[in-house]
Amino acid sequence: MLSPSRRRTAQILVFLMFVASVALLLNAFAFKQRLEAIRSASSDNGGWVVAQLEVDQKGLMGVLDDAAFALQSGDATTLDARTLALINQEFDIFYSRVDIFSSTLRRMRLSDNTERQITRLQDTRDALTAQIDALTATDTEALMAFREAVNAAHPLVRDITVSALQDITLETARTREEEERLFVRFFVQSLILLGLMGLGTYLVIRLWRELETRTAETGRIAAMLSTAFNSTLNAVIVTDTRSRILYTNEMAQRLLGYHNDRLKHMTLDDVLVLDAAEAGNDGETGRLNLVGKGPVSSACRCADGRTVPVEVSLVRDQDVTGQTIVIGFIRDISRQVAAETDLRAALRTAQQAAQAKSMFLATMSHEMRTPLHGLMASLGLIEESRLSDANRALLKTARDCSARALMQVDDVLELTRLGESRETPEEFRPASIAADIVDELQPLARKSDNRIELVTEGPFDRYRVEGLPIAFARALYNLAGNAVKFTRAGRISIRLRLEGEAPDGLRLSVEVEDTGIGISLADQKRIFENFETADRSETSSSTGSGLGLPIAKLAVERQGGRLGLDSTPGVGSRFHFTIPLHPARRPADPAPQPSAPMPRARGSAKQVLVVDDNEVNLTLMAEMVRRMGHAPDIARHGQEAVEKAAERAYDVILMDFSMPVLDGPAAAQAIRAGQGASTEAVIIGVTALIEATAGMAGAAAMDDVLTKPVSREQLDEAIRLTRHAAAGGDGADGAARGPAPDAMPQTGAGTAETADAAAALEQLSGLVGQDTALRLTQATLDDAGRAMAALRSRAVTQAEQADIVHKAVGSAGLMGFADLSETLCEIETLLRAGRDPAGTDLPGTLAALLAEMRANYEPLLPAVAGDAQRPG
Amino acid sequence: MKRRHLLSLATAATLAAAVPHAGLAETPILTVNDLGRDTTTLFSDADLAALPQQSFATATIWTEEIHTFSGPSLATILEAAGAGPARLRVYAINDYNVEFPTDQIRDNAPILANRIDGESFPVRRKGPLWLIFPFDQEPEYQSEEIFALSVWQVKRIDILPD
Repeated sequence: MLSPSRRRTAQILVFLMFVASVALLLNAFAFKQRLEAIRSASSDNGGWVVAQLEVDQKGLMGVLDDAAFALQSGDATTLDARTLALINQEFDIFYSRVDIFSSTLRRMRLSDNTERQITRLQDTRDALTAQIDALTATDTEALMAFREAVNAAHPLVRDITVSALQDITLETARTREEEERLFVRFFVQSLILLGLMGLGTYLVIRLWRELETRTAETGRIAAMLSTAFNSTLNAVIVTDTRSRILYTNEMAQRLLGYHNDRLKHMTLDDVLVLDAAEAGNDGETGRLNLVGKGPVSSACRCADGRTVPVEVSLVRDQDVTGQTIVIGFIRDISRQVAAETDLRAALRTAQQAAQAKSMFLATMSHEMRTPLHGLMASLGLIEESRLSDANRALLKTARDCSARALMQVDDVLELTRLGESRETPEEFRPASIAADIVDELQPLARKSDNRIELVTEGPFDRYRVEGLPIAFARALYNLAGNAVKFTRAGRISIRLRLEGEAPDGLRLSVEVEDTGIGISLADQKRIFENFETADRSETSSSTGSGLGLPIAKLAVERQGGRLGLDSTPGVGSRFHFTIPLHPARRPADPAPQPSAPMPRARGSAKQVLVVDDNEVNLTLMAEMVRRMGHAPDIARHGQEAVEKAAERAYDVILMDFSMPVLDGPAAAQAIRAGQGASTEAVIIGVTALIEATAGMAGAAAMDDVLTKPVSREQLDEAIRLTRHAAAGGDGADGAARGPAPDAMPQTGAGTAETADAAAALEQLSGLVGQDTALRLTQATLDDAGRAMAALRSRAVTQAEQADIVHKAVGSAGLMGFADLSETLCEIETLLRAGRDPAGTDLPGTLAALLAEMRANYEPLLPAVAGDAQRPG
Repeated sequence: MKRRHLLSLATAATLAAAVPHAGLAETPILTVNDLGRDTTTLFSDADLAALPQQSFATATIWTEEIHTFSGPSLATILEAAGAGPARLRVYAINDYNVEFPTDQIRDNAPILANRIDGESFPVRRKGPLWLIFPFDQEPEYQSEEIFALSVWQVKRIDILPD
């Protein structure tokens, strides 16, 4: 735990303390020894010993003086035993004192003088000893002599006392000095030791403080860890290797609903529910074999019996004692699971909504086809020869626009519901299609001060090519239209380049370049997404429909190409694609002249039976057939058609699908199955509902199916077919199988204001003849009148009302009675939706319109009014 | 040394001659006065020799060589005098006296030596009784206080009242 520097500090500290202790011990021991040495040297009190020498000598002298005085005064002539014993005792004391004196003094450092004197003293004492030992009680002379000798020794004793005392004083001073030195030394050593101890103490304090800091830090970390452990959003369960629970945090207790004490008697297996496969066969470790496998979805069994979905992650670790433990992190994912469920539900709802939207769009587009049919048919029937050049140009534009409108509707239908293309390869002229598109866009381009140029390169004249003209036109129109839309006062270049020499290796490169606002890199991918997934608000604000580019992309892809885009914001955009083309498989028709007079039928005129229950459709179709140079015949329902076909051999039968008495497919089957004259006739179905043909049993009996509105070209081509077209080498697989908006459709003059009803009627008369025009107008008014009567009648069901109104819608639309058609259409919609239009102002509007029209037209229709008999 | 020894023998003979009626061993040489109880006990050399003997060899600051001192311990004498350890005052022939603290009275030290190297010793050789500590055995005995208590030529011990 300690850093290396701290460890070194601690080591130094320990070493210092050890050294200091040893030094202190040694010092104290040395001090004691020296002190004792000094003290023991001075052992006994020298002064006392010295002083006693003289005292004892005086004592001896005292007893001798007493004895001498007694003898001299004559009290006694001899010494008594007691006195003698006393003298002896005093001498003995003196004697022993000299020994003591000598041995004591000689332990000190003596001056030479004292040394000599001691020797003399001992000599003197020995002499005295000899004298006293020879002393007898009677020998007074000897006693006196002894006394004299003792007295004579006194100066010596005196001298030796003085000099010895001096020596002792010196010795004492020396000792004191030595002691002082010893003390000083001890003091210095102690100071050093004190310093060492101080240093040690400093280190101890420093270490202590560090320790305190570390302890506090450790405590803080522990507290933080504990807080984190307890406040983490994950439940944490710590177990041993036998999955017995050791610790849990608050979250785990809250999640599982058990108290910590309870959990400590449980195992991980008690609270964790795992799949048998995941748990494995290892009974001892149980859930623990999930260790290290990352988050695993599982579930927890709670105290209240609930099972909560969780995510479990187990890791192996070791606790502070080195025991292996397993830490389990458990996350409650019930909210996540619930959110996922909600999301899925929301997605489903959104998908349903999108589907409903698609359905709506498809239905709406489909419904728009009916009025468009009328518009195009009417435009197609306008007699161009009577028009001025300016009006003819306007008519062309009107035809083009209506064709585009139909194409757009088809686009929506295609993108929303129909998805796949029904177009088959046919011969076409890319350059002229491009030229038409350029012409068409010119007015729009001029409005934005744009210049459009078309550049074609390559051998367009040498090859007749086959491709998907509709898809090609769609792609180019949308790209060019897009370019015009986003360019102001700029230039739009359309470049077509036919590449390759071999018949099979032809490629057409198309580039549409503009100098417009450009597209940012971020948007480049997104703009190709169709309206179902693109940001609605953005697409609607920038391109209007938001379908142009997706359609172009789809169209290019259908032709086997890939739409590319280079764009720099602020500089311009360049869309480009390359498509493979094949050489045409049959001789080309004379170059189609879109604005040329109506083509006449080639070959012999054919017998054509037109079958339709709708008077207007029947008339229009028959008229078109007649104008193509064929001989039309009519039938108003399937049964009539079967009967007529049995009698007469028709080349072609145009059969409506939905008809009273007998519907189209059934009639076609009957004609084919029967032994009539027209068994081998080409039967072409004509329907307003594309999808209605799919899967209808009778449709198989038909050779082809056309969708309303039927263009002149489609009709022409269909009629030219024979039952054995392929065998006849006619290469009939190019039959149009749907609307052909790129070709000039049959359209009629669509505007008929009440004010110039007469003019309108006159125009129509010009197209189909006056009788027919009058009859059609009358029939339309009758249809509308019948619809109104049906609406008012209580005896008719809503479904029947809808059917009757529908018929009137078709008639009014064909005749170009826009307001009437619209109003009827709304009523039909309501009826189909199961609602009663009586609650709205529609019946009132219808009555007013009808009254107005009758007022306008009836004066013009006196002659034919009675002929307007039609089958119910 | 040898000469001194001879001298001491001569002195002993003189003293013996001075007290003709009493045997040398029977002469009281130590008086123990129990001041508290007001009793006096006299000890002759034979009395002392009859007491349990202690013996040790030690050097002293007053003698040149190591000698073996023997005799009864002070504690034994006090016991023989009918007293326990107590504050004492010890008197010497040379009129030296010192108060002997109780705490220095141990079972085996000091002893009142009446023999040095197995021989009795006269006054000239600090006899006949020498209160002596085993200086060499205990360093604590090598102090001035103990030296002052090491009374030679002991003649009387007063047991002081409390």
